[in-house]
Amino acid sequence: MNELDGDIRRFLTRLTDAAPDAPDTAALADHTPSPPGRPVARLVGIAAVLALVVVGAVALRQRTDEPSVGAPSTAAAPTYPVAGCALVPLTVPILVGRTLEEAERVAGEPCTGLVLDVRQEPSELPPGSVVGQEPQAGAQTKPGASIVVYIAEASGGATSFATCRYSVTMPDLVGLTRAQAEENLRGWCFGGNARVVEIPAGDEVGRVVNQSPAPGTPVQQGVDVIVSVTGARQVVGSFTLGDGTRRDVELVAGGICISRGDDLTRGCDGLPPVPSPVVVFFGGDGPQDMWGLLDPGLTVRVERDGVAVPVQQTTEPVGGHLAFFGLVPAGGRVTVTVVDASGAVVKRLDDVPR
Amino acid sequence: MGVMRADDVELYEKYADELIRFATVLVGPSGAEDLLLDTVTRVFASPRWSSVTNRRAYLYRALYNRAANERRATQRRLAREVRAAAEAPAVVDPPGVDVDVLVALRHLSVRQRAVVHLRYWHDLAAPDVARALDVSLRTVERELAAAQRILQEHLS
Repeated sequence: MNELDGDIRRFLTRLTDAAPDAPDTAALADHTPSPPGRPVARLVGIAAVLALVVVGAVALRQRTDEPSVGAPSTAAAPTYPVAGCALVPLTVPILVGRTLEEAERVAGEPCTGLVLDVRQEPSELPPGSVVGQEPQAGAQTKPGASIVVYIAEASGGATSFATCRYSVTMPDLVGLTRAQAEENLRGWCFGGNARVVEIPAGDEVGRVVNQSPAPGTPVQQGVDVIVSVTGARQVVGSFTLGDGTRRDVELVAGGICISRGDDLTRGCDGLPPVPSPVVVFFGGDGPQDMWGLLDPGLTVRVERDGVAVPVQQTTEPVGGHLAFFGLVPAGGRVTVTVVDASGAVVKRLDDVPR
Repeated sequence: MGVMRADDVELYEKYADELIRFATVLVGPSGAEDLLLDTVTRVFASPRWSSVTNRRAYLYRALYNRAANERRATQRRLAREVRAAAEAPAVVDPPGVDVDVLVALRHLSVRQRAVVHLRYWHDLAAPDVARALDVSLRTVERELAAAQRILQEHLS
């Protein structure tokens, strides 16, 4: 290793010995910075790459004993079809949140060969990271297509380009203030995939009471992250039981509470047993609201079009049963599954009517 | 850029030589001057510049960020320089840079170049390199190991 260290130091010496003289301050004062993006320069660059490809091919044919020297490292996009690569539509990968190098690696994977059109964009996000892309991840495209990526312009050293993550392990956000939780989400550059929802509730407004995915879960860009923050208490709906008794549903911190009649002062008792292991209701103040009642000892899982929906559930029986609440986007096929403590499915409701 | 502030002039004159060396390692000799001019003029014009405390570190970081953003153009230019140096060393500008050095440089990523420079030129320990580039220690160790493998292959 010592010999290598010496080689590397000599390498740096030889390189820096060739450094030009630093421009003087007069040159600095006269200099106009190149604009971000530099489309003309990019066109010139593209032309240069094409020329290099042609020249390189000629040179390689002339000097086959030195293939690695003459070949440009950033070859033009591969021409498709390529042997061994299926001619199928490609799904645009998630590039937002990656560094440019990572994005180029993903885009250049075998049988993909997507061409990145890199543009700079002023941004408060960490410089050097991909802050936008067109088309969006998940769109269909073809091998060799061009993807526009917007790179956060290096506007300062106060922000850290190390904080923009393609994947993170979900920390425990419960108990943080809303501002602290939002700061976390911004730091990861999760953008539109991270939502803070306000649930009407408890004594202290503006605290995180729930999160999805759970702490410790590995999550990647593109995954929905939902953080529930306490808001003002409110009744979210009402329903009538089999005996004609009317009940209101009130959200409180950490879950929901069934209150009796018009008594909304924490009167969460007096409900008769639920005739089924689970009842589900939709509606209320918001079109996405879903709540229900559940026999004690059971857990409810809700899916919409096969994707899990975060559900809050009381842990202690209230009025002889548990209650649950979730936000289910409009449309789609909703499935509710009830499991017992061992994980065995007790009941499954497919395509729950809304 | 127009009129420069007196303290910016003083700061630039103080660090210009080491910054041009760092820029040379990042993008090669022929692109170093442009990189330095572009970066410094942007930094001095930035409204955030006045609030920066460690200005030397900020300039290093800004050079690195800009070099990373210009990586593709740099790679293309280095490829041309390698070709020119291999075929007609006499016309390489600036003179004196050897083709094997350029080839080795071309095989390093911008981050690896920065790590190697800070580690071997400034003799910074890995944690200090991590702080200087604002990356994790693990990243520095990984990039340094990768750079050593690449350089061993191309310098031996």
